[in-house]
Amino acid sequence: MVRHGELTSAPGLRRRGLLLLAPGALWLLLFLVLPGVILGAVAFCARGADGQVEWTPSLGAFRRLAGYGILGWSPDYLWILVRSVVVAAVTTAGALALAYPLAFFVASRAPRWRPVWLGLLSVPLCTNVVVRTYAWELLLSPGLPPAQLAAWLGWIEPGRALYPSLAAVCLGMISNALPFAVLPLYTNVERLDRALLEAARDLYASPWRVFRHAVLPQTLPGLTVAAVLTFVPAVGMFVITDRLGGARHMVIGNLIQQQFGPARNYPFGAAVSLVLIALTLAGLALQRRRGRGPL
Amino acid sequence: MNGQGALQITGVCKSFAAVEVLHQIELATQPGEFVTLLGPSGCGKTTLLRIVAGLETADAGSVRLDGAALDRLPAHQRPVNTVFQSYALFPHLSVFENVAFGLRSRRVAEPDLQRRVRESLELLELGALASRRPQQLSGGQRQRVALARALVNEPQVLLLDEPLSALDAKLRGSVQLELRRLQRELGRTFVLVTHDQEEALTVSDRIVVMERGRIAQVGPAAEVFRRPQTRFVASFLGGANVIPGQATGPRRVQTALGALALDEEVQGSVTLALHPRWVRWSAAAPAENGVQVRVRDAVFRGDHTLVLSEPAGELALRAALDPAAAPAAGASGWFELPREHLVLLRD
Repeated sequence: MVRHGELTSAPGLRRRGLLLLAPGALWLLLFLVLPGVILGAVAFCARGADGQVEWTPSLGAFRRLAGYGILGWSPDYLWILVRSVVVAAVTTAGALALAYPLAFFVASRAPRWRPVWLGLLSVPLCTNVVVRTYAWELLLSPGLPPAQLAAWLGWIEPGRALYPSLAAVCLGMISNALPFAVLPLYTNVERLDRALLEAARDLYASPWRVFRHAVLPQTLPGLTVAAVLTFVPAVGMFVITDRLGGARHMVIGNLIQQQFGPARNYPFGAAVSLVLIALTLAGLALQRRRGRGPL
Repeated sequence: MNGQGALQITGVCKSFAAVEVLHQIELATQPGEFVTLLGPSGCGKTTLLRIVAGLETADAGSVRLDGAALDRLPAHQRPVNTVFQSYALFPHLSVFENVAFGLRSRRVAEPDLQRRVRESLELLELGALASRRPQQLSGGQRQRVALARALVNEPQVLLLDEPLSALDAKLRGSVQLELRRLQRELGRTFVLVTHDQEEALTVSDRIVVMERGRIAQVGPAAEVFRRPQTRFVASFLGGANVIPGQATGPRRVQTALGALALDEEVQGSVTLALHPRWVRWSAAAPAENGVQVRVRDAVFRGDHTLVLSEPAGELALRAALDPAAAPAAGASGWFELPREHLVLLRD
């Protein structure tokens, strides 16, 4: 029962607000903040001889990431960071380029067919990403038309597969990201104010000008959401990059997985994870600043 | 520029799916004329306007401007501009750039463009707002930007799609007068779409009353108001009383209200219309065309009181009377239907 004044009076509101906040806050505290603190702490520790974490302050993990090893300086780890960002950026660009026209296609179908098209676009999400990645391996394997065509064009040696390669990684990542890019764009495109398009046409605008001034500004919010939903998972991805990229094309996700897995170097893995989080937050900040600016 | 802007619409038909929206529309405008397409929602007036703008394609018929066919020209090549109901201003562009949009599309040289946009902004008293965004403007200001954005292109015909419907009543009244002044000053052809009869009467040289995809009546504003030709026009403009009857003599008609004398000669079945404002009220029987009534309702409407009579043979009369002299509900007396104001309808 809600007593009179309890919901609307300031103390009542505050009490209720705290109550509503509690479950989510507790969850985030236990599973985000606390692990984050532990991760941060571990990153500044040293690795013991048997792979255990030595609780003594150390910048060793970060020095190693910056390239300073026992054998002197090498840019290997920095290249992994750069490669991760580039692969994620290419994936984002590719997914948006495919999703943009797709969103318009779906939005221009008769209303009763739209859910069908959206359903078809979401079908891949019903399968595990590992299974989908194995499917790509099969498709790109030697003897099949894509690899044969690439060999015939002289891009790869005959008899070789199209993977491991960065191109294969991007292909796998784009196909993985596509549904997440189409959905926010579609909801945006579906609500386009068509009067603006008509106004532009009425004012002698060429098709390009109609797009530039009547369509693009209206779809910017959808593009932004799609970009975030594509870039953030892509920069930390390790399943697809592991299978289709291999050791030669290692990205940050694989490095982290390797450190917490076979290499048993928790401080180094934690340090790389912190850098990944920093990269993601930097990307989000960039996007926010762009979103506020005048297009 | 004067002497141009003669629009000629011939045999225009349009259907959406199986629904016929426009049926054989024939309409011609004079250069520099202010024409209003008036009708209830769904009568096809907006579709007709959009066909002229090139935003919709007619199924049949043709639209010509100063003798040249427009039918095959896409919207962006027609020498007409539209003021949209929602204004459709570009939210990411300033007022100046919104107004400059059409000129930039046509690659007008920068000095010329600057001058014309400035002139256009001055004309609509928007000079001080040039650098604002549309979101920072009031409804009335947005409406003026939409007008400036269309007029700066010096269109042969300006099309206005219910441009005042989003404004409050007071502002609407002043913008109507402003529109009329602007049109006289520029001497351009304006075609306005509205469902508001007062607006149509205020601004138009000629009114085109539309009903279910057809033109019901075309004529100067005063004529369409005073001499409606059909029941629809009579009741849509001014909510006239429509009285059916049978001719009993050359100038006499027997109706459910009694015998009425007319100025016109009639025979057979006839329908008469009478605007509420011509109905007179008296306590005693008038000399001619008196109808004895009981007042069912009297509604104060500011400048008049709308008096409804108890129906006689399913026919209730409406009278717009001087509030000082209007009877109260329940009163009994006489309505006089002056013969000089009784209009003979076609249907």
